[in-house]
Order: sequence, then structure tokens, then C-alpha cells
Amino acid sequence: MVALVLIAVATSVVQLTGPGIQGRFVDTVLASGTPAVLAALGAGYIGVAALSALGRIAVQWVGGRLAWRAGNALRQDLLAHCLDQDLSFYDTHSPGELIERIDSDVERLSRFLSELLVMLLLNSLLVIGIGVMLTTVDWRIGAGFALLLVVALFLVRRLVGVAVTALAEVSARSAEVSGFVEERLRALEDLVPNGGVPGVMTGLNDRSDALTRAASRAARHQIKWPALIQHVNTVALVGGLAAAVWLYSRGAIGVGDAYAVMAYLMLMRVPLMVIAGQLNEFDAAMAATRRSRELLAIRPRMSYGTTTLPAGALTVDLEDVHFGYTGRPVLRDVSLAVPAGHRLALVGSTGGGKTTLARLVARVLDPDAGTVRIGGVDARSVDRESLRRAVGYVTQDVRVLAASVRDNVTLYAAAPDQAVLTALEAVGLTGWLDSLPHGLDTRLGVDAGLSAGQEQLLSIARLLLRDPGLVILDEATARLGPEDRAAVASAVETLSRGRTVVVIAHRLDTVADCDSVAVVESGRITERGEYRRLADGDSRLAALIAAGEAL
Amino acid sequence: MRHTRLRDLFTFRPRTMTVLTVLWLLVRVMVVGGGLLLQAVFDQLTTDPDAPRIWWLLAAVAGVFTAQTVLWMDVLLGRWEMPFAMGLTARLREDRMSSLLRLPAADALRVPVGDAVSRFGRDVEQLRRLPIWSLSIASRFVGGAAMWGVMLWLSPAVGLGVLLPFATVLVGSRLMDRRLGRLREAASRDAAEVASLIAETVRAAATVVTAGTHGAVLERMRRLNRRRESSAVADQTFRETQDSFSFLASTASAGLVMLTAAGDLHAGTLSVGDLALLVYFATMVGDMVLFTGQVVQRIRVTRVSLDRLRTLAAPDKNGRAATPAALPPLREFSVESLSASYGGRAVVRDVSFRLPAGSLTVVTGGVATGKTTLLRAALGLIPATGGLRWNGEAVTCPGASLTAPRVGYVPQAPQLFTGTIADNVRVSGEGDPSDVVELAGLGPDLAVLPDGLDTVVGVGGRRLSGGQAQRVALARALWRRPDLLVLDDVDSALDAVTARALWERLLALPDVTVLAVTHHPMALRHADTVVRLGTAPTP
Repeated sequence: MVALVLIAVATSVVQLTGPGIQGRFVDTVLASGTPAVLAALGAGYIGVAALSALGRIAVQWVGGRLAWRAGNALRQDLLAHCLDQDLSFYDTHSPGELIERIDSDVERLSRFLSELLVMLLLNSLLVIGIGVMLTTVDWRIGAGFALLLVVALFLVRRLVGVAVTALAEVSARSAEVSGFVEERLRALEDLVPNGGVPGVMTGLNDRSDALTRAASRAARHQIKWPALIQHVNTVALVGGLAAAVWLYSRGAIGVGDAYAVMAYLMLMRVPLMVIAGQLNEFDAAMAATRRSRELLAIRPRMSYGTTTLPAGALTVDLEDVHFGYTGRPVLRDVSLAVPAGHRLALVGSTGGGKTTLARLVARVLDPDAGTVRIGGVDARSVDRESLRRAVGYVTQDVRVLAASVRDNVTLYAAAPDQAVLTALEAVGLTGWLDSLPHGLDTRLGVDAGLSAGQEQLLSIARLLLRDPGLVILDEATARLGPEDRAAVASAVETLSRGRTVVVIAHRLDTVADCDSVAVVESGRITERGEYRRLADGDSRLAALIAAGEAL
Repeated sequence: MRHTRLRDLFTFRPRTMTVLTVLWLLVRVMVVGGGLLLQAVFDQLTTDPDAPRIWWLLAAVAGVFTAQTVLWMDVLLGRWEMPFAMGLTARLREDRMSSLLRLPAADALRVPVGDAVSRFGRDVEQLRRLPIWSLSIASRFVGGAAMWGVMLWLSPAVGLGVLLPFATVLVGSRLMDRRLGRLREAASRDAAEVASLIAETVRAAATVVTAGTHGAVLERMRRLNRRRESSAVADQTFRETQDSFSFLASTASAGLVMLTAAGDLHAGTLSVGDLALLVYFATMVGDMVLFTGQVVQRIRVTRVSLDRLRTLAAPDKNGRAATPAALPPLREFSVESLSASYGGRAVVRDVSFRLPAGSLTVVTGGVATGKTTLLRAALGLIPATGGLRWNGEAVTCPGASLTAPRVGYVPQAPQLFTGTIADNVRVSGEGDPSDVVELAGLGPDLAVLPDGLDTVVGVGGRRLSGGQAQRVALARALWRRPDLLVLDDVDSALDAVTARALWERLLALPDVTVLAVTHHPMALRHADTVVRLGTAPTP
């Protein structure tokens, strides 16, 4: 930072000698100076320009580095902040919007800091220097210039930021367009065959129009203060010339001085034109900063403790757990004990609360009342890293990353290739891996894809690699065909060894392999016991089996 | 629709383009006029500083400079450019989207969705800058040429001398161009990697957070950020170097003016006013040079963006000729020796079957036996070889023809979007979706949702359970009452009771031909045809 300011000051000083040389040149010519002096002045002028060019490059390099470091730190903070949120955060913030906030907004800021801020710094110094140089010509011109600067600063201060609200609107509309495009691109296969093409086009059109209107309105606000700067500059030039004319006619200054006054004021004009042309980025950067702050102000409701969980199978205990979404109760008064190493199946019709129960055990949600204990400890008091290492959760829809196969198994964590290969082998994906062009480095979604069944196997491989003591499988084997269910069942069998497993199952053959079954209906556990004992008797499970004509 | 080319950017709204051209030229006229007035001020100053004419000249300087600002800022930037640029942006986005929608839908995107979204945003934004920038540059050239003419007329030696740095910079920047292109490429590649990591992480946030690998993601991010920092700084510094050379040239030209003019000034054939004009114009001519260095670079950047926009999707092989056919009511749909590949491997080989009106055909098979690929190929959602016949007539351009209202389709992993349940069902046409929603088995779910059909589903439908989302997608497929209903594993996330009830309703639908991938015993029992696909073919 110190280096940056020093180089900037040096560059400005160098630049400031240029008009002085021009003034001296005029005086020398008129005073019949020798060609040698003239040539020296001309060469000096070019030398000064070369030095200031070098200075500018140095400022860009040092300043650029600083600015990118700051921007990257912010990007890092924003991503970390988003990953700290409750999962419900992602229900209201679309990936498109978050990408805009974490990537595009910060990029806007970085560009502003690295290109514009450096330019602003250089030129502010230049403007101050011009004031000093004008004072050396005549103190009255210097004083007038200073007065004008004060007035201009006052006016600019009032105008800077008038565009921020309009720009926030532009950014919101722009995020809407991105969000729309993102969701529609993701749903191409749903939309095209079902006749959604005209709807996509009108939807895009409407959103584009709204964005155009917002941007046009913002443009009218944005030019206000750059225009003001231009006007101030015109006043300075004309005022400076008028003062020079007046002083010259009274014999107070020479022609060379008058010329230098003009040259100084013109020196101010060119960089100002360049800055003013880009100054709308200033407002855009301010709006981006505001949005970053807003995002950073969102706090997660879920907090973590410091207790760590031991390795190996863990117990699960629910005590009088209640949970509801916006006043609608989903689970009422649920108590459940699962011993370490036990395999529990949750069954019951859709909407009964199985998934919510699984989410509570996985601590994706916290109960409104009651306690969830894992390994005998209240889940809320467990350390975050320890909890996530000990508890594995497979949701209904498997997210395949557009990244390498390795990253897809490790989810970006560091792991030796051998461990990744072992996990893939355990779920029977070795054959598939061998068919890929670049092995573990093959990029999914670009070079290769996965069928729904393979996605499911991938999600089990992810768990095997992490080796958690408690596993929650939410409809994990639902999409598999009968031929491969046995293979997955054996993968699940491997996974179950030495672990506590809670599985939400629709296939009753997987239920039969479990140590016990809990029937979840209308937010309560209505039945709990061994499969064989319940299935034969007059039970809710037996009724479900009959209704579903299960295998 | 053919692909957007560089010149299409200039032929968008020709009338506005003309207005902008005239306005820019006026701005340049003001610049030239300002210089001539300054010359007059100094000539007056050195000859007769006490005459009142000098004050009139100063007033004229004030007027011209003010008019220039108003014209440039208030009129050009404030009124005309933004609506034009945004209109162009909208048009580019719409062109891209509409040509994308004409491709086989399951094969259309060639890059991850996050990357495609960034191309729809950042690259389109890059493209919209070119026409406006070009106008400002062209007007600079016209203004610069006029100024050069004046300089030549005042002093041929100065006029020619000023071109020397100009030529040097032109050669120099050509030499630096290739290196600049490489740096630029590296910078945007590193930027894309950061963007992709962010996109994938927020998209799979639930997976990453529950797996506890958020720390690893941040570590990866830190590494990519560092790499991006060095490539971005290198790119910017190099560009600044190139700009500095141009700046140096423009200043050097002013210095050269001083040196060449010294003799004439001394001899009195050039006045101080002339010198002021020459130095002022030399800077402007130099300013023009400063932008010359950027023309090649700008066009390259624009070409890269055009290219990125083109390559986000598969090439359009159908071209303009393929128009979708309006299909008559279905009597029979047949698939003849259909072959298709997935992930570079042939997974469907030579499959044929017939679907008479009102029949049920079930496709079964293990993991990765090509069930989904078969359905997609049968609907023209991926490129395939073989024949598709509707009532015995070959279907040309199947992806665009086999659609609603004749066809309804539920893909394997249906996608919902932000909006209400009703919005998600009515993807084409208006109306009351109550009965299709009932048919899809959502009745009991809607009964407990406070807003019923107007329930907001959240981003990507995430507020609904997997089973609910699947049934909303089914309602969407049923919405236009299709003759042919194609279902890919529509019962996969449903519990036994709901799945059974669903199949009971589907089997009871009159006159609907169903092609379904499913393992449900009830569907298998009632199927008229069962297509059993073999184990995963070896590569």
C-alpha cells in the first residue's frame, strides 16, 4: 500500500513537470533561445512522458495485486458464509442469484478496485498537483482553482450515489434474468416436449424488457456526476484562461505562464474524460458492495457446539420431538431410540413425516421442541466438523457436480486416489469408471454422464469414503431396477457393517433386512418393532403391505 | 435461426445506429471547434490582449465545451446508448435461447448449466459493447483525420512528424497482440474455473454441507483464487503496458510538435496560438492512436464471446429448413431399428416396437441398460438413427414435432422452477389445472397445503418432496391431454400406496397411449408389450 502511494505520487510529480516545460519552451522561443536549449526542453518533455508511463505500469501492477487480493478475500468470505447457512437458505436463494452475488458482484468490485481506484488515486494526486503548480504561476489562480475544487467536491458528494437505488434495481432484474435462464436451461427436457417453448420465450422477453427499462433509468441517474465533473472542468479552463488573460494584460505574468496555465488545465481534462467515461462503474461497485453486505448480514439459525463424537457406530435418541413448517405441524411428540449398529427402516405414506424425521436425525433441521441425541449427546452441542464426519445423509435427489469423477466422490476433500477407487469398487462402479476416457479425471456432465441408478451408487460411494458412524438413507434405492437392486443391497450391506443405519424405504424387501421398522403416519410413529413380527400380525405395516401389493 | 455473426451486431436497429453516429460526429466537431477557439484566444492574447474580442472568444470556448458535455453525457450516455445496448443484449439472449430450444433437448447443452448461464450473462454483455464502442472510435477517427488535415495545412513538417510515434505504436501493438491474447485466455479460463466451483457448490450446497466438506471447498476456492489473481494481474498489467505505450506515443507526438515547430515559431511563421492548436491536436491524434491499439484486441475479445455463445450448445444440424409438423390424432406410433449413444457409448442398439393407440408399453432393465436413452431417442430428445413413425408417416424433426398437445413427457429427474404449482403445470396455455392435478395424484397433498395450487414451490421446486415434484411433472405432461404419454420412472420417489393408486388412474385413462420406464408390478402386469433391455453393454 505504501509502495503504491509512493509510486503514484512520483508518477504524478513527473507528469506535472510536462506543462511547465511547455511554458518554458514558449518563453524560450519568444526570447530567441538557442536551438540546443529548445531541443533539450523537447527531449525533456518526452523523457518525462516515458517516466510517467513506467510509473503508471508500476501503479497498475501493485494496485492490481492489492485489489484482486481484497476481491478474492470477499469472494471467499461470501462463499464460506453461504456454506454456513441453514439449508432452508437455499430454498429462497436460487443458484443463479447466488452465483451473481458471489461471482459477478465481486468481479465488478475487483475490477473497480483494480482498474478504477488506481486511476482515481493517480488523478486525484494529479489534480492536487495541478493546483500547486497553478499557485506557483500566480497565487490568485491557485486560490481560484482551490475554491472551485471545494465547490465541486461539495456538489459531487451530493450526487455520488444517486444512482445506487436504480442500480440495485438493475442488478435485481439482471439476477432475475439469470435465474430464469438457469432454471429453464436445467429444465430443457421438461419444457420442450411438453410445449413450453413459447412460454420460455415470452418469459425471457418480459424479463429482458424489465431489465432494459431499469438499466435505461439507471443510465440517466448515472451520468449526473460525471457530467458535473466535466462542467467543473470547463469552468476551470475558461476561468483559468480569463484569469491568465487579465493577469497578462496587467503585465503580472508572461505568455509562457499563460500557456502553462492552459496546458495544466488541459492536462486535467483528458484523464478526467477517461475517468468520467468509466465512473458509472463506481456506482455499480457501490451497489455491489451493498448487496454483499446484505448477504453477509443473513445469519444462520442453526448453531454448533464443541463436543466431538467418537468414531464407530452411534446411538440415536429422539425425545418428545415436535416440528412444523410455518405453523403446519409435521411431527408431533415423536420419541425413538436406535441402538448403536442397529438398522432401522422408516415406512409410511408420502407426506407422513418420514423425510422430516430423517432430516432431524441428520441435523439438517432442528426440532421446535424436544431433543435429538446422537451418540448420547444433544445434536445441537456437537462440533460442526465432527457431526458431519460422523453422520452421513443421502437425499432423494443426488447432486452430480460438473467436475471430475474424483471431486464427485470426495466432494472436494483431499483423499488418496486408492481410497476413491476402493469406494467406487465397493459399489460396483469400477466397470463404468474403466469405460471413461480419463479415469478419475473425467469431467462429469461434459465428457460423461451417469444414469439415475449410477447416481445412486455414486452417492453411496461418497458415504463409504467418508466412513460415518451413522448413515441416513432417504429413498436411496428407489430408482434402481430389480436386476441391480441386489448389487446395491450388497453395497448398502457393506455400508451398514459397523454403522447405525436409518433408511426410508419403499421396497419392502429392503425393510425385511432391517433390525426393526417404524411406521410414520400423520407426524407420529404409530408402530415400531421387528419386520417379521409386525408383517404377520394385524398391524399398520401389514395393512401397508397389502395396499401396496409389495414384493 | 442462423448463428449471430460479428456484423449482425451492427445491423441491429439501423435507425438508432444512424442517430448515434450523427451524435458522435457532433461531439467530435465540438472537440475540433474547441481547439480552433483556443488558438484564436492565444493569437488574440499575443497580438492585442486588451481588445474585447478576447472575452467573446472565451465565452465561445465555454459554450462549445459545455455543449460537448451535454451532448456526450446527457444525450448520448444518458438517453440513447443504454436502451440501444440493452435492446441488443435482449435480442442476443433471445436468439440464443430460441435456437437452443430447437435442438434435441436432452443433448442441447454442451457445457454445465452454470457455465451456460455465465455465457448468457457475461459474454452477451461483452457483445453489446462492440457497436457503441465502434461508433465512438469511428467518430474519433473522423475527428482525428480532420485535425491532422489542419495540422498539415499549418505546418507540413509537424503534420508528418506527428505520424512517427503513431506508426511505431501500431507496429508495437501488433507485436504484443498475440501475447495479450494468451494472457487474456488464461485469465478468463481461471475466472471460469472459479465461477464453475461457485456454481457447483451452491447448486449442490445441501450435499456439500451435509457431507461436511465445506472446508475442502473453501480450500479449493483459495487455490483457484490465487491462480486467478496472478493471471488477472498479469493480463491487466500487460494491457496497461500496451496503453502506456500509446499514451507515451501521444505525448511524444506533442514533444515532437514542439521540436519541429521551434524554427517556425522563432521565425514568426507560426504563432503561439498555432502552437497551442498543434499541441492540442497532436494529443487528440495521439488519443486516436491509443484506441487504434485496442481495435484488434476488442474484435478478438468479441469474437471469443461470440464463439463461447455458439459453443455452449450443440451445433444445429437441422438448419432453417426443419419446421415442426402438426401431428394428427394418434393411431399408431412406431419405433424402427432405433440406435443411440450416451456419454460416447452406443447404449441403444437397433430397437424396434409399435405402440397402437390406447396401449401400454413398459420398458425395463437394470442400471445403465439404456432405458432413459431409449425414451429420449424415441422422442427426438437426443440425436439417434433409425425411424420414428406417427400413424405410419415418418416424423421429420422429431424433437420439435413430438410435443404437446399430442405428446406429454415426464423425464427421469423432472425439474420444476420458481413459481406456483399451477405455473409449473401450465407450461403451455392457460386454464384451470385442477383436474390434471387430481389425475396426477396430487389431490391429497394439495388438500394440506394452505395455498393449494397457488403454493409457491421455491427455487427448483425444492420446497416440495421428491414424490410431489414428480407428480407435478406428471400433471405438466397431462396438462394438454396428450395422445402419447411417455413416463420415465415416474413412480420412483413414491411410496407403495401412492404408486399403486397412480398406476390405477393411469391405466384407467381412456385413449391414452403410454410408453413407460418402470418396475412397478402393476404396470408390468397390465402391459401390452414389455421391452426388456439387456445388461450394460461393454464398451
